[in-house]
Formats: sequence, C-alpha cells, structure tokens
Amino acid sequence: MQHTVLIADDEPSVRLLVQATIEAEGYKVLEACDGDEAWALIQEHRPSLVLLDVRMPGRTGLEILGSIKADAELTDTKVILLTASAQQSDINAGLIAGADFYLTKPFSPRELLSRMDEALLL
Amino acid sequence: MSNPSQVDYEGFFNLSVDLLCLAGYDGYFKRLNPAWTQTLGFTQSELMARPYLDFVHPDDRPATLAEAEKLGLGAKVIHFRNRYECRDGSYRWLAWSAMPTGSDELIYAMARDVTPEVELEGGLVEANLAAATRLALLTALIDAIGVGVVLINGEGRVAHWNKEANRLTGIQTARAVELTLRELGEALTERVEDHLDLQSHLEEAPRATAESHFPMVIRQPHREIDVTVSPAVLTSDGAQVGLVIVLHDITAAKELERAKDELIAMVSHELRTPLASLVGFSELLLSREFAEAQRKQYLETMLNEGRRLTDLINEFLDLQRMEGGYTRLNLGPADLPTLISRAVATAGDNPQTPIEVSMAQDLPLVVADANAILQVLINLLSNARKYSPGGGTIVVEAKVRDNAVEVSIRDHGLGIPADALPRLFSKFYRVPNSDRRRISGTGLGLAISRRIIESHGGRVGAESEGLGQGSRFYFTLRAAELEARSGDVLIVEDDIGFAQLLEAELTVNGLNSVWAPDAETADKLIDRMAARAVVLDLILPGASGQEFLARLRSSHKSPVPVVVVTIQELDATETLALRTAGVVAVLKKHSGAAKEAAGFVANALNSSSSSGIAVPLRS
Repeated sequence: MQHTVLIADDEPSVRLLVQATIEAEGYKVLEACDGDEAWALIQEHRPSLVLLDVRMPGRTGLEILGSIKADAELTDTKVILLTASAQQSDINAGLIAGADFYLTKPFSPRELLSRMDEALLL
Repeated sequence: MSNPSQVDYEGFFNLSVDLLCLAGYDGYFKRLNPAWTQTLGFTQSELMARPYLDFVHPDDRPATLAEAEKLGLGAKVIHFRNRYECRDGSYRWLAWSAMPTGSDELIYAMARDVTPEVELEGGLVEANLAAATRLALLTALIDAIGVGVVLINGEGRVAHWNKEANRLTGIQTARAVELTLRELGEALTERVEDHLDLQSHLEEAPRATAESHFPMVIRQPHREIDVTVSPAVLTSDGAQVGLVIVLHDITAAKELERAKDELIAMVSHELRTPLASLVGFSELLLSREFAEAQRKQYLETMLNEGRRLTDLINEFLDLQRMEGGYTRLNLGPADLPTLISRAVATAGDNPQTPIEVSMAQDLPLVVADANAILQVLINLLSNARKYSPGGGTIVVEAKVRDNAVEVSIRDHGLGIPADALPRLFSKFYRVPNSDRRRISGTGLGLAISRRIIESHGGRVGAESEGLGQGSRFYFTLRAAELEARSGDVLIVEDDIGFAQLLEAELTVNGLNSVWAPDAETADKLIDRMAARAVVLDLILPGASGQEFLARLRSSHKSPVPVVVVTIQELDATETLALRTAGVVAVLKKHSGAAKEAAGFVANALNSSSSSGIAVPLRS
C-alpha cells in the first residue's frame, strides 16, 4: 500500500531533499512550510508518517506532536522529529513528548530512509 | 580556752598582707605593719619620716587630701584609690578603707595593692574599645560589599542583615533582625518562587556542617539569587556559634548564560541546515540516477546552499569581530548623497522595484566610515528589494533632523507585524512568514547594520503599519562640524592609512589638515574651508582626481598649490596636463611619498608669492 508522508520544514532545500529521497521509493509526499499548514494537512490527509522540524513558524514541531498524540483518530500516525540540535536534552524532550524517532541535521538520505522504515514497521 | 577578747590582734596586724596603718591628722604615719615594706620597698622609718602625702602620686594628691578632709568633717568610713611610690621609683595602686577613731585623733586605715586589677581593667577598657572599633569597621565592610550578608546567631535568630540583603529580598533590616530561620522563611514566602523549597533549605541550614548552596528566585522584580550557607565556627574549639548566609545576585549572569545558549542553538541550526542539503543531495546524486532536469535542480540547490553557508559564516564572523572590538572604524567626513548613489548603483536596476532618491538640499557632511555606511545602505536596499516580491518603488530619503542626518529607505513590500519590530535587528531573526518560498538571507544583515550605526553613535530603527503595508528603515549619523580653519591642507585620498601618514607629515611641517575620502566630499569641504593647499590622489571611488582638479581650477580664482600622489604610471601627456592645471609636484606612492608630499606643500606655501615653482617631477 502506498504510504503518505508529510514533510514539514520551513527550509525549501530540506523539503526538496526529502522529496527527492523518498519519492523514488514509492511514497506519496506532502509538503508544509510552517506549523499551521502542517497541522491542516495532517488533519485532512492523515499521513502514515510525519517528518516534523522542531523549529518552524506558526505551531512548533513539539506542539504538533502533542496535538497528534492527543487526537484519537491519529493514533497510527508515526512521527520523526527533525532537529538541528545534537543536545541530548532537546532530543529527550522530543522523545518524552512522544516522537517515535528523531533525526539530527544534517542527515543522509540513507539515514532518513532507514528511520522511516523502522517507524513504519512499528 | 583563752578569752577571745584577749586574743593578740597584734599578730594579725603583722601577718596581714594588706597594708595596715595608723595615721595622724598631722599628715604623718604613726604606725605601719610589715606589709608596707613588703609592698613598697621603703623601710618603716623612711615612711614615717615624711608626710604620707609625699609618697602619693602627684596627680592623686589633691584627691587624697580631699578624702582625708571628709574624715575630719565627720564621715564614718571612706573608700578611695590612689597611687603610692615604691622605692624603685614605680607606683602601685592602693585601694583604701579608712575611718577616724574619735578619741585618739588618729585614722585607722587599710590599703590593698590593686595594681594588677587596675591594669587588667585598663587593659579591658582598651580591649573593649578596640573590639567596638573593629565591630564598627566590620559592619561598615559588610554593608559595603555588594552581596547580601545575613548572620544567624547561636540561638538561630538573625543577628545581622546588611543593606544588600535589604535590597535583594525587599525585607528591611529592622524587620529581619531577631527573626528565627523559620520566621525568615515565612517572611520570604510571598516574595519567592517555590517557597516550600526555601523553607526546607532554611530548616536544614543549622544542621549543616559544611558550606551548602541553593538557589532562590525573587518575584517582582525578578532576581535569581545563589544562597550560600556556612556554619560560623569559633576557631579555638571548633564550636559552632551561628550561621553565615551570603546572597549573590546572579540574575545578570544567568541571563547572559541563557542568551549565549540561545545564540549557540541558533548558530548551530542555521549552519546545519544548508549543510544538510549539501550532504544529502551529494549522497543522493551519488547513489542514484536522476533525470537531467532533476539533477540540475538538485545541483543548483546545493550551490545556493553552499553560498548561503559561506555568507552566513562570513557575516557571523564579521559580527563577532565587531562585537569583540576587533574592527576599527575609520571615521572621517563623508558625503551621504555620494554614498547613496554608489549604493543604488550597486543594487542595480530592477524595473519591478525601481529605486528613487530624494535628498534634502544642503545636507551637511557626516562623520562616518564611508565603506561601513555603504555596507549598511546596500544591506537595507537589498532587504527592501527582497521583501517586495510583488514589486513596488523603493524610496531613499535623506534629511536633517535635530543635529543629525537621517537616512530612510521605504518599500511597499511585505511589511512587518508589530510583534516582530522589537526583534528585527537581533541576530538570525527573520520575520516568520507563511509564504511558500522562504526569502533567502542569513538573518544577520540587520544585526550587522545596527552594530555599524551604533558604533557611529547613531540610531537605527524600523517602522511598519503591518503585514502587507510596506516598511521604512532609517538610521541617523552625526553631522560633521567643520570649523572654518583657514590655512588647512585638504587631503583627498581614499586609502585611510596613507591619509593618516600625510596628516602626520604635514603636522611635522606645522600644517593642519582635513581629510576627504573621495572627490565629492572634497568638493563640499573645499567650499567650507579656506584650504591653502591640496594633496590629491588620482584614483578615487567616485569622480577621479583629475575631475576634482578641473572643478577646483574653474571655481577658484587664486591658484591653490596641489601635490598629486598616485600609484598610477603617468605618461608625458598626462603629467603635462596636471602641470598645466597648476600641480606643483606629481609623486609616485611609495614609502617616503608622504614625507615628500608634505615637504612640497610646505615649500609651496613658504614661497607662495612666486608662481611657477621649479620642482622636479617624479614619476
């Protein structure tokens, strides 16, 4: 079955990279450039997986994560947090908030794909 | 058993260690016991040979006489102290008890040697005074140091609460003194965050055997305090006599730490993002085949991100250098209209966002580092263009305001929301916008511009009616105050280092100078000062030295000597042209050029009456 993946990041180059990486693998890609757009798309399309940048204008990645966890209809949605911070405290905060995985930038396409596989197998 | 009334009291008289005596109203001792000799050293006959007053210390004699008179006047018993001389010349203190005997006309008296006690007392008084003085000094010291000091005595009550403790906690000394630790905790309840934590720390404090720390946060005004509690111990036996509590105000330090952490997080994020593209796309392109169009798109993205990273690093380092004080500004008189034209020329033509310049007449010269201000202008123009994706005219204005010149750049672009205005000039800040295409940039341009303007002593700011309403950025610069000092030499030179050398050499020759970084500024300057000579560079940012010379010659009636210093290799025609225009000397820029130029100027001014000075041309 074809999974829908949402990439939410305010950097166009990051979105392009993700799209380039995963489209060839057969995923349907949705893009959002800020938190509010991301949340709207999540509710409308119910993607299987969401790649969330932690720092975005509008709703932050952590806020969206919270909303996903709180929504009964989104229990199957997997979340991978994208963070530029290698600080353990930030990573912990994300995992505690309920992220399934995190990826620190810069990440390689290989890393992205293997994380996604792991997440979708959960 | 013998009758007690018949006991030989004579024995006691001789045994007594105290000095016993009988004295007459005639002022002589009549009977003395052995203690007198033991104490004072004089023999009894020596003591009885002279009036007893002779042996009394001269300072104590009047008092002694007065006491003796009291007996004569009917007092029953008297007590007093005086000093008696010893055989060796020293004095001893005696404490007397004396009474008259009515019938014999004798005085019975007893004296005790109290010299040790008196010395002790004296010593004690001195020691007390010393201690009191020391206490006063220490109290003053405790009040003067910039930390809160609270002393808790052995009973667990506040014994001292210094001025800084007042200020930090808002609890006044009068209120705090004598409070127990628990009461102190209660008094602070309203003023601190997490008062339960504080209470438990205060309760544990007396039991502490070593120094301990805990934080305390005061509300209104917000203050972060580091509290240190140490037991106060008597050095002699290690017994604890109380507690010393020190309050350090670390609010500023904490904020600095937080700001630094935030900056590091931001820099980290900003640097990693373009890096992510470079690494990611590289890997993709190496691992897979893509269609040509896609390949190109990815490679372009990589290039752009690489460039962005470069800009970011350069600008960030620039900013850090400026903030660290490593960049020196070369301030001098500058002509704003010239700088603005140059900035507009650099920005280039864009029919969608044309630039209009509106300058007030008679703008004064400003005090500025021309290159730095140019950088600011280019930054503001570039922003105006970037943030007008829908097009619109950009207007640059300059006018005099108060004692300064204000430059403003107005655009009809995206505008700035009110809550973003205060943060606009912070590092990496960019207005969050929900446009699909994120506008490129490092987020450091405004921070750098602000830094530059503020180093010039000016102000920078932004205004906007809101999103979609365009914006107006402005900055101010000080107007240059030029005293019309006649007899000055005008230096027209864009190389600051060389200009400074020239200034120095001219000073050696007793000449003042004014420096202009370009021909346009020089034009304005020469109008306002009665320059006696000019040292001219030919290659200048705007108009050339030759153009300036032409203008100079056409507007001035009396020829002012001009010395040209240039790196250019001039041919015969060019050199002749200069000479015809009245140039006194043409020098090549080399290490001794400044000195030579100054020499030529000095010569020219000294023999100013004659024209056509024969000076060898150097090329």
